[in-house]
Amino acid sequence: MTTLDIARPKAPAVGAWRLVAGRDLRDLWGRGRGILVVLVAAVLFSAVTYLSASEASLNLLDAKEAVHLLIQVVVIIGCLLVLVSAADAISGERERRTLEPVLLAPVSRRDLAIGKLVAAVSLWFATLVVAIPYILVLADGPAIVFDALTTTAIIGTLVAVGLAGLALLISAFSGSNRLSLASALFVVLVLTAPSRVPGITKNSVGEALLHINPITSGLGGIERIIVKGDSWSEAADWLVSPAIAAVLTIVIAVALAPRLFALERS
Amino acid sequence: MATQIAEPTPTEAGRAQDVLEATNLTRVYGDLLAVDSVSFGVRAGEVVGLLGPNGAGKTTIMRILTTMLAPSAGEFSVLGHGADQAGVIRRVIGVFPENSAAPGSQTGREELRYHARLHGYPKPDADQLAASLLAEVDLEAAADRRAGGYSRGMRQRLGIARALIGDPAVILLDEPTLGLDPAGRRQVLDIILHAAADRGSAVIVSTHLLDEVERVCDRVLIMDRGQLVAQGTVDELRARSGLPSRAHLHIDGDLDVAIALMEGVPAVGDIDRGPPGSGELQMELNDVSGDAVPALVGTLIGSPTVRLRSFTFEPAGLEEVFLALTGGVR
Repeated sequence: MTTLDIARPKAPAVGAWRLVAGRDLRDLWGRGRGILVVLVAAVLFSAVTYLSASEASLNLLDAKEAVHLLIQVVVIIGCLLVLVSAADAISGERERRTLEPVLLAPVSRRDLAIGKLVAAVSLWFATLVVAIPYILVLADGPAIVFDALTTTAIIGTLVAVGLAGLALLISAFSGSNRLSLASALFVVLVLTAPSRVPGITKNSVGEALLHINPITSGLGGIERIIVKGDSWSEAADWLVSPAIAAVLTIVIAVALAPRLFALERS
Repeated sequence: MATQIAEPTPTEAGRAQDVLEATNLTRVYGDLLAVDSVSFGVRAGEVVGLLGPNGAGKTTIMRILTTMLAPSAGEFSVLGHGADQAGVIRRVIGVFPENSAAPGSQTGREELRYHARLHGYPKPDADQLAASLLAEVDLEAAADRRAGGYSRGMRQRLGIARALIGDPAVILLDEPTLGLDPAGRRQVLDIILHAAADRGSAVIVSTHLLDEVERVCDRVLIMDRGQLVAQGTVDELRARSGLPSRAHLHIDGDLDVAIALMEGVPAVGDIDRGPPGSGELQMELNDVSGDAVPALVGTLIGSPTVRLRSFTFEPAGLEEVFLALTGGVR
């Protein structure tokens, strides 16, 4: 059989984003890169869990605070992995000279954007799965386990998706992969830093900043639910920012997709 | 989620005519006029060489035709589909971009299968197509090795195989033999010739290597400073360049008589004698069109006093023609 004997398809691939995501997922997980970084994250979670458990045994940290500390690390590390992966998605392919053949395929740019976002966000879900045993070890009772798992899954996913969309946009408009990664990391640093400032919640401006910032707001929501025992509705004002960020960055990334995949950026 | 793109409907008449037409294509980058009102057409089964010095606008033209770059003015169509139907055009063209690469972590088979699936081939057909294309470009033995470990020639052939997915009506190859050894170049050129002859695809090859153009191209487009300065067959371009061809003759008999006979032929220019006693003559031919060369040979054969032992025709080199048409090295 020659290539000419194989019937030419009458239409392009439907749901091509699944093919794009499939290839990127195979590239990420099948070749071991994803597994390696998640293993490194697991080592970090082990250290945090060990230290938290030690503190808890000395009554310096109760179980809720220990779980909260671990969840903060899980969310930040998971989101960092997503961010790095998404920041490499376009600028990295451009530098490796693998972007043009894909752009020449009869696939819509939106399918490309969605496929790449799905592959990047997979790192968050892998991090989440790896974190579950550590949460179970530190949590004291089924109520904390349930709250810890649901808050981590829901709020962490919102933050991860928002950062994935943002990093994809940064990647698309960066002139080099190095610039893309540096810019994305700088953004995370800027977004995370306010929550580390002592006493920032003591004035209304600081409180507002924490609410507007999707990362600090998401982490604040987790703290409210896990440590302070707030219900989801009571902590809702902390969840608005990460939810808006997730929806907004994805909508912008998909809407701008036809302009994102340029062969060159100066 | 996928954008639905209508199936192109090439007509028989469309295939018989130009499958690719470009009219007054223009591209401006800031103050730089990279491509200036370029028009040409390419027919099915035709191999067209795109030549020009660095910065002539070849890659810009290729990027416009592959829908990667929008023209500032002018238009083009592939099988009648205009530039506003980029998605449709990408279904009916195959492209080998200059300096592109396959992901190093993918095997050759995975790469072709992936692109076949993006073209809409069902999985079993994509598998078969990948296997057939790998055989066509002689990569069967390396099919399941990662492309990152391929030699340059293998990567080029994999890229050309990718360009053949979807049985494209137009194949655009940007420097497909760049950096290859002679054997690798020959292999790639054979693939190009087969693509045009067996598939009936129109092929545009951008290259710096003029001997390749002479070997595989039916027609040549020569660009310089963004403009299409000449187009036609290699022989037509030779004639247009005004550069003389040369003839080498080996004659028994009186050379003075032979020279006198030659001087009576309008196409013959300067005549030089070879070493004394060798019976050799070299001459410039200002016109090699139509019956000019047969008339020259006939004149000698018809003479009772000289005997033509050999006649070697040496057309003007394409390199000289190219330099003449583009104004030489700047």
